[in-house]
Amino acid sequence: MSTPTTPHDHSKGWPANSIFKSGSLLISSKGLGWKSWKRRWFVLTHTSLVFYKSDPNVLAKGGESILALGGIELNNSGSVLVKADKKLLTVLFPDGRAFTLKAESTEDLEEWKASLEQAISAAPNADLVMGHSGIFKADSIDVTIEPIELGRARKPVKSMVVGRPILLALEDIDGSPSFLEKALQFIEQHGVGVEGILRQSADVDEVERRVREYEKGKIHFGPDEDAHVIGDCIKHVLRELPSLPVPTPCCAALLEAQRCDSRDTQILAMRAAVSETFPEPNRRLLQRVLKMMHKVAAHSAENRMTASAVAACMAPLLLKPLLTGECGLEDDSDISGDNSAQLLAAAAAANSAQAIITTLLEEYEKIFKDDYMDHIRHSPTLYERVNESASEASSDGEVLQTHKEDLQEGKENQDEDIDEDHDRLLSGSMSESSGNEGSDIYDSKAFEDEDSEGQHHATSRINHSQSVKVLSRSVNLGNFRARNETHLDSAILSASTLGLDQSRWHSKFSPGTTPRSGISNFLSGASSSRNMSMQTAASGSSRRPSLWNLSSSKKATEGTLPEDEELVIQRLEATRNELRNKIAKEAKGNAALQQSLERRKQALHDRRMVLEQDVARLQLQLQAERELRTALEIGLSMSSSLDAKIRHEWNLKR
Amino acid sequence: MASGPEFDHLFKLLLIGDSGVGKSSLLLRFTSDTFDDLSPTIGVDFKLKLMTLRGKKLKLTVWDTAGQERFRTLTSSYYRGAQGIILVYDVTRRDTFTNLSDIWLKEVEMHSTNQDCIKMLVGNKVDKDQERVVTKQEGIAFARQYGCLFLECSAKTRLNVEKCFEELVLKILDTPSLLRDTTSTRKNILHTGLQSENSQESSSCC
Repeated sequence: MSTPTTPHDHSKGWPANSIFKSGSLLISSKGLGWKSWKRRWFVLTHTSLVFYKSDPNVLAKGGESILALGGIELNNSGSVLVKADKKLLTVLFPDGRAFTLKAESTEDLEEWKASLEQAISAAPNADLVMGHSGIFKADSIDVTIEPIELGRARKPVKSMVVGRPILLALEDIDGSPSFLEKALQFIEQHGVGVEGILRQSADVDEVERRVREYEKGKIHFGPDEDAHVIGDCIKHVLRELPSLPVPTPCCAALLEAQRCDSRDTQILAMRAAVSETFPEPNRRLLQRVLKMMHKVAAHSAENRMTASAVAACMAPLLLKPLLTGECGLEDDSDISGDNSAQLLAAAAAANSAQAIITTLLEEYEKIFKDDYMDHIRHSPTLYERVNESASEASSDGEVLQTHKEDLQEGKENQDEDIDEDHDRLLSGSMSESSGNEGSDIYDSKAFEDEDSEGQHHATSRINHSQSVKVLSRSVNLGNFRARNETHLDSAILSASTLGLDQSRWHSKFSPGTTPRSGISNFLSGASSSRNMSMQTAASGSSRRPSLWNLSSSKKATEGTLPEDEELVIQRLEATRNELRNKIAKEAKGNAALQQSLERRKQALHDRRMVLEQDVARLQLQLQAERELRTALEIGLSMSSSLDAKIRHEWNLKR
Repeated sequence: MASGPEFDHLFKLLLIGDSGVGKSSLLLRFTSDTFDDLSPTIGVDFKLKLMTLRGKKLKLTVWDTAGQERFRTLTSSYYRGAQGIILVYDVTRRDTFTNLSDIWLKEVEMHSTNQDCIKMLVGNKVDKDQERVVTKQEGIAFARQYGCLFLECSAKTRLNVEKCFEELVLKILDTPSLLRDTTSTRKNILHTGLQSENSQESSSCC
C-alpha cells in the first residue's frame, strides 16, 4: 500500500515540529490469516503521528539510518475514540481516514488520548490540507483497516485515477476511456515488445509521478514512455481499487472450476463461473485485463512473457481473496517456529491463483468468446449475447452427456430471468441510493451518494465486512458478497489442516526440489475444507448450500415468479453439481476398490501358481523317491536271491 | 543415524528484491550450480543446501519469494525467524536499487524478528557490464548506510555467488544471538527421540 502522493519524506530524521508525546504503542500486523500486535515507537507532533521500530534516540545498531515505518497526518478535524476495555485507541477523520492502536496499560491509554486530542486541536486546519493524502505507511503494514478500505478511505478527494469504483475502472463518467483503459491500450500497443513487461517493476516514485502528471492533464501515453512504468501504473490502479476486482465468491467459483479433471469441463465450469457469479462490472474489468495479458503472452517470443509468466505476475492482484486466504487464525500463538505451514499455504494459494489465471488466458477465446466489446455498458444486445454464448456453452458440454439437456434448458431459462432480474436490481438500487429512477448506471449522482455513504460507514466503524458491504452496494449485483465474505472469514483453515511441520517438510523433500508437489496436495486439502465450512455456514441462511446460491436466496425473499424459477433452476444446478461431484468421488472410490480387488486377485493367482508348482515339484519328488525305493527293493531282493544262489552253489560244491 | 546429527546449525535465509533481479537464478546457481531462463516465481519457493564451514555442518533453507507483488500478505511469516536476509538488486536497473531502500528495507525493519539478523546487499548481473547503471561505489555507500554486507555477483557466470552465501553464513556464525535454536536437536522434533540414543556416540567421534 504505497500512497500515491506522499513521498516518504519522514524517513530521515525528525519532523521539524515539537513533540507532544513519544512512546511505545501496539500496532496490529496482519498476515495470511492471522493478526498480531507489534510494539512500535510512536512520535506525536501537531502535524503527524509517526512510528518507528524502536525509539530513534536509543537505536541499537550505531550509524544506521532511522526509517519511519508509517504514520498518519493530522488536521484539526480529527477525533479520538477509545475502547477502554480493549485498550484500543482510534484516530478518526471525517474523510474516512483511521488509525487504530493499542495501549499497553489503561494509564497509557488515557495519556495518549489526552495528548492526541491536544495535538489534533493544535493541528493544521482541515480545509487547508484537503487533498493531501492522509495515511502514509510502509507498504506491508496493515493498520487494522483492510487494504480495500484503506484504498477508499485514503481518497477523500476523488482521484481521477486511483481508488475509483470498479464501475468506473475502464470508462470515465462521460464514456471516454479511463486512465486504466489508456494504460492497458498502451501496453497492448507499445508494451508487448518489451522484455519482461508486467514482470519488471518500475521505481515506485516514477509510478506515482506518472499518476500525478495524468491528474494534472497529461492524459495521453506517448510511445516513448517507459512501458514498465505504465505496466506498474496498471498494477497500482488494480491494487488500489476500492473493492476487490474479483470478489471472493467469484474467486471461490473459479477455484472450484479449476479443480475439474478434464480441460473441457474446466473450461465449461469457468464459463459458468464467469457468467453466473461475476457482477457485470467486475467481469468486464477482469476480461479487459486478461485481454491485455493475452496480447502480451501472444508476443512471448519478443517479451519472454509466456501465459504462465504473465499469470504469475498478475494473479496476486486479480485474485486477491485467494492469496489473502479467507481463513481467520486469530493470533499467531499457535503457529510455531518460522510458520512453514503458513508459507506453504500461501504458496499453495499463489499456485492456484496462477493456475486459474493461466487457464483463463490460455482458454481466453473459449471462456469469453469474442463478446467482450459488446459488453460495454448495459446495451440490450448484452442479453442476447449471453443467451448465445450460453447455448454455445451447452453444446461444448458434450462431455457431460447425462446432463446435457437439463443444462441447455436451464441455461436458457436462466438467462432470460437474469435479464429481467438484472434490470430490476439496477433500477431498484438506483432508487435506493439516490431516490432517482435513473436508467443510466453511470449516474454520477448515485456515485456521489454512495461515496458519502461509504465515508459515513468508514467513520462509524472500522470493520472489514462493513466496508465490503458498502462497497458491494456500489456494484449493485454484488450485494450477496459481504455475507458470503463473512462466512469465509469464519472458515478457519487451522494449522492442523495445513498439517506439515517443518521437520516433516524437510524430510519429505530432498535438497534442490521445489515444494510444488507437496503444495498441490496441500491445496486440495485446504480448499476443500474451506468450501466445506463455507457451505455449512451458508446453510444457516439458505436451505440449499451452494457457492452461488447465496445471491439467489437473497433475491428469493423478494419473490416474483421468474425469480422463483431462477432459484429453482439454480438449486437444481447446485444439486446437479453436488451430484456430479459425488459421482466423481464415488467413481474414484470404486476405481480404487476395483484396483485393489484386481491386485488381490492377481496375488491369489500368483499364490495358486506357486502352490501348483510346489505340488508338481513334490509329486515329482515323491515319484523319484518311489522309484528309488523300488530300485532298492529290487536290489535287495536281487542280493538276497544272489545270497541264496551263492549259498546253493556253495552247498553243491560241498 | 550413526554418523551423528544431520547438521550443527539450521539457518533460514531469505532472498528479497524486485521482480526480475535474479533472486531465483542466484538460488538455483547456489543450490545446483546451473543457470536457466526462469519464469517468475509464484508465491514462495525454497531450496535446501548443505554446506560445511569452519568444520560445522550447516543446513541452509533459502526462501525465495515472488518479487512482483511486494504488497502481498505473507510477509510476516516469511521474515519470521530468519537469520540472514539477502537484498538483491540488478546493477543494470536503477529502480531495483532505489526500491530497496524505499520498500524492501522497510519490510525488513517491520517484519524481521531477529534484532541482529544479518543483511546482505547483493548487486546481481555484473556480467552485463555494458548496461551497468549502478556503480559499485553506490552499492558500498548503501551497504554502509544501512549496515549491510555487500557483494556484486553474477548468477550467470557464477562470479561471487558461492561467496555471497558464505560470507553471510560466516557472519551469522559470528553472532551468538543468532545461533540460538538453530541446532538440529531443537529443530528436528521428530528426530530427537532417535538421536538421543546416539548422541553420546556422536559427540565422542567429533
